[in-house]
Amino acid sequence: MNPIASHWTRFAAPWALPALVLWGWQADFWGWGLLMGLLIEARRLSSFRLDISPSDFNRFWNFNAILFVGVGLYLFIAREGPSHVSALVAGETPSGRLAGVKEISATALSFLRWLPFIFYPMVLAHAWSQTPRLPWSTFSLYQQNRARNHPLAPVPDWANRQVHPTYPYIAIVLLASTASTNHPGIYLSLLSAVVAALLWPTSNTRFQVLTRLGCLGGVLALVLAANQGLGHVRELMQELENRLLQGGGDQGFDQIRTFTALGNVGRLKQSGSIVLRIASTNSTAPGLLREATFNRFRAQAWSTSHREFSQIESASFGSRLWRRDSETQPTQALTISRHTANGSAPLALPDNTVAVSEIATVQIETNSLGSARLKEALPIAIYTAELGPNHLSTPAQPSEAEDLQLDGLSDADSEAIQQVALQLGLNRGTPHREAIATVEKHFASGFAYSLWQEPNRKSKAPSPLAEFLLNTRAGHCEFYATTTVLLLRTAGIPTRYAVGYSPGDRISGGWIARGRDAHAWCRALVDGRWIDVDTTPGIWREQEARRRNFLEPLRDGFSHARYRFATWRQSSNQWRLLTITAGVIGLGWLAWRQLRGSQWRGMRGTNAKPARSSSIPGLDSEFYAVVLMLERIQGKRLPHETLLEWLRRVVPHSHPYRTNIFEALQLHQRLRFDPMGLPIPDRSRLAKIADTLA
Amino acid sequence: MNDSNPHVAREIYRRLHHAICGVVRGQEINVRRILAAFAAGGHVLLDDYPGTGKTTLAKALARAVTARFTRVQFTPDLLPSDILGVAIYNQKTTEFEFHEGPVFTEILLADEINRASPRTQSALLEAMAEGQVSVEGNRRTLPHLFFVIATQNPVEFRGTYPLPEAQMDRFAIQLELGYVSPEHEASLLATQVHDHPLEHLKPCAVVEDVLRLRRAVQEVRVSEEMRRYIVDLVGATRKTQGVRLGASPRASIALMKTSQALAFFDESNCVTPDHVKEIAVAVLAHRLILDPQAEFGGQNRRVLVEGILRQIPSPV
Repeated sequence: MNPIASHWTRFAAPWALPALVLWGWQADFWGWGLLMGLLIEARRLSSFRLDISPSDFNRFWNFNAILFVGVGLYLFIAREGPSHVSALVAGETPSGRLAGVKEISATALSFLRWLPFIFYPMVLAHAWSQTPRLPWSTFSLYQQNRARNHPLAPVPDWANRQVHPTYPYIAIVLLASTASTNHPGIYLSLLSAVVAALLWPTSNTRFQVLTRLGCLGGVLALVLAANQGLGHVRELMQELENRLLQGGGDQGFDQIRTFTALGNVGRLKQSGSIVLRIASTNSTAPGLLREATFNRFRAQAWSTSHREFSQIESASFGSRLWRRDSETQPTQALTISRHTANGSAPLALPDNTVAVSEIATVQIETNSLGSARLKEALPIAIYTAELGPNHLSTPAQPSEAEDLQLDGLSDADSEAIQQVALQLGLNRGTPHREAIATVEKHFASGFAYSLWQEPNRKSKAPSPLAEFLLNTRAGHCEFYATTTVLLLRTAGIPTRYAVGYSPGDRISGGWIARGRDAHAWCRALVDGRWIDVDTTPGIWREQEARRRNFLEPLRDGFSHARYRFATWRQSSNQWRLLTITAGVIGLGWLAWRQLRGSQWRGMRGTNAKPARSSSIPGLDSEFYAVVLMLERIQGKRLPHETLLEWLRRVVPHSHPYRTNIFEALQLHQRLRFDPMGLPIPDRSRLAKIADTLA
Repeated sequence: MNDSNPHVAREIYRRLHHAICGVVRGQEINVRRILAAFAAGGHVLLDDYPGTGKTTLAKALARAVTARFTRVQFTPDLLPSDILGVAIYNQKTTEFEFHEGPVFTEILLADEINRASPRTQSALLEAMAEGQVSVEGNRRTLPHLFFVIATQNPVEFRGTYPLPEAQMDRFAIQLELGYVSPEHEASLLATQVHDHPLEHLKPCAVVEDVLRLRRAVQEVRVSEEMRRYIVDLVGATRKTQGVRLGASPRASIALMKTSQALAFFDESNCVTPDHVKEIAVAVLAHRLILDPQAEFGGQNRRVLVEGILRQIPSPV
């Protein structure tokens, strides 16, 4: 036997009280921990013991296992486990995935905290029983089943080894106490003291007590030192993680600052996953849906001049959440749905939106540039944008000084812009509409749409914008939008940089916008109105769609299914209650069966004698029908009689079917007792004879 | 000839059975059981009153197989060295030379085995269980086919020593031949007017044939359920009232192997409860040691085993 395995069984029951109290202190179950510990230790004062059989222990364990699964499932469902898992697996953004991981680990931690409760019934029963130790096979459902079905099968060594269940239980309790750490310093020293006290009886008595104490002290000091070190490592990791996350920041959700892909070489990767679902009664495309507007360009990034978002007081709009334009009457509506991250999502809205309404109560925040976002929304936010006529007459937000600013540009960018402006004859005096027409015309000829940027091969142009404007004349929408904004500013037109979606794919009853439908364009203030100036060649959509993955329909199918499930879950408030009720009923039934001690009753052939186990072959033999029939006529077979003996006794030589009966018997016996079974032709022969006889 | 062909091996059995039954009239069933033990690699103990044909049967089996055959007549003054062999000092070579005893053979007929002292009887223990003999500190292996067929008179008879329990356990089966029916006895007389039919018995198998038969028997399949039935039967002998010592796991093995042989003789690929029940009494009865009370109360081992067979429900 393994010396370590025997080690754990050599000693008397350990004290579970300190471990349980430690756990109670940490997990805020003070009273429970003390009570549970005292209940276990009370057996030391009493000679009363219960008589619990091994099979009862099996049942206790099965009950505990069901409890384990049940509590796990409950926590998983009650704490929104499925949506976190989906966020982790299919999350669009690193922060969404991270949030998923955090939520899942929080669920796991609370499950860990509960573990001592779950396994307590088993340990309490054992503590008060006469059984000193249990074999490992008690804890294995597989071994239990095997022992029941194949009593002769050899039991593996490990299953025969004995264990004192209090030891593993204390390990679980101590593990559970680590789930929440109040006063980490005190906790660690207390934990070490408890572990040391528990392990003391197993220390080698060949050494002097002082030596042993010294060793223990040394190990404890090492543990404390390692703990300090771990803290530092954790801080380091946190820092690293933050840095990584910022580097790969998600563009879609940051309405204050957006990093462009200007200057990135190679192919711009765009995902085909569905971002927006737009229900529309109108067959024309929804056009540009703006998510955010920016007015400050620095170091290849667009940002806003004012970072603050202010909450909109929805109460004043009646049934609507936000009324952008109180005069214009809406003529049509788009219902847009999207996933939110932590309850927040940018509102993608067409330019002519007059009002926004939402199904569930949420907040809307907006900033000075007109970017709006949802707050405290459900995992899937569904909002309706009510649209007015295509050209709203009301004045929009006033322009700011920042809308004309060209100062933040690098020298190379600035030179290139000035060079092109000069070439196009743009200056402060150019009429606004003429300037816009000139710029649009400039980009319409001689420029190409490309997601591919050549690595800079000793180019004369020192910046990506200059490279685009003067050399390659090929780029994606960010190039066009950025240069248009900057060129129009040279003509004195207040301009901003807008990002959003241009939905391109139809689905039944509406449109969808994919990741690759993301678009950037320029907004210019002309004659007191902000208008969209989109200079990107119209071919961009086909270019993007060409890179559609052949698996995309499949992926869309999954996406739709997930979306439908999520909206169904969101809309019916009863689902969680229903799931939990069903789970409780199912688990309760299982637990009741276990405690009642009944086994699964499978369906047996109507005529088979009760079998010792399910592994016996041939109990479905057709010959049993013949036996039943003969028993009715000739009288019962004695239990010890074999079929051959009995048939020889009851079937007279003159019986017309005697040879058939014995042929069938022979086939039946092969079916029953030959481990190789009966070949199919013989089996059908048996069925045929039995059919004739019966 | 092909080893894997069961028909060839079964033909060997039929020839042996026919040859022996031609000599010993009216013992077809017992011959079948002896051959089952023979084919299963076990040893046979024949037990009955003098003159019932024990020795004839044993000699018939020995003659039917072309194999080295020795016969030891056990007497009270027989010593272990008379069976195993003895080392004699050779003055020419100035070394001890081992002279093999009668146990170094293929078929050994131990006639009236219970007339020798237990010391001598025990000399056969190692040979029967392991197919080897340790003499003077050297291990000597016996031939591959080593088969002991022993006869004994009922123990109550004068001048007999009961076999030690360990020795009894080494015999796969024990059979009581019993008196044959008057018709058979009459025909027996008719055949022996001029000479003994044993004289006309022609060998019909060689050692290789017997080994082939044994291999074929091992191929017979035993299902999990049948193994369980066998163990249930043997286990019941240990719990039955009046039994001091039940049958050993060696008995379970012997019961399975002899059942396999019977199944093979019946042209079956698998063992059925009928085969087990047929041979159970012969395999189990002689291994039981009864309580003195049961012994003197007239309990019969065979009746006990038959009772057990009626207690344990048979798989159907």
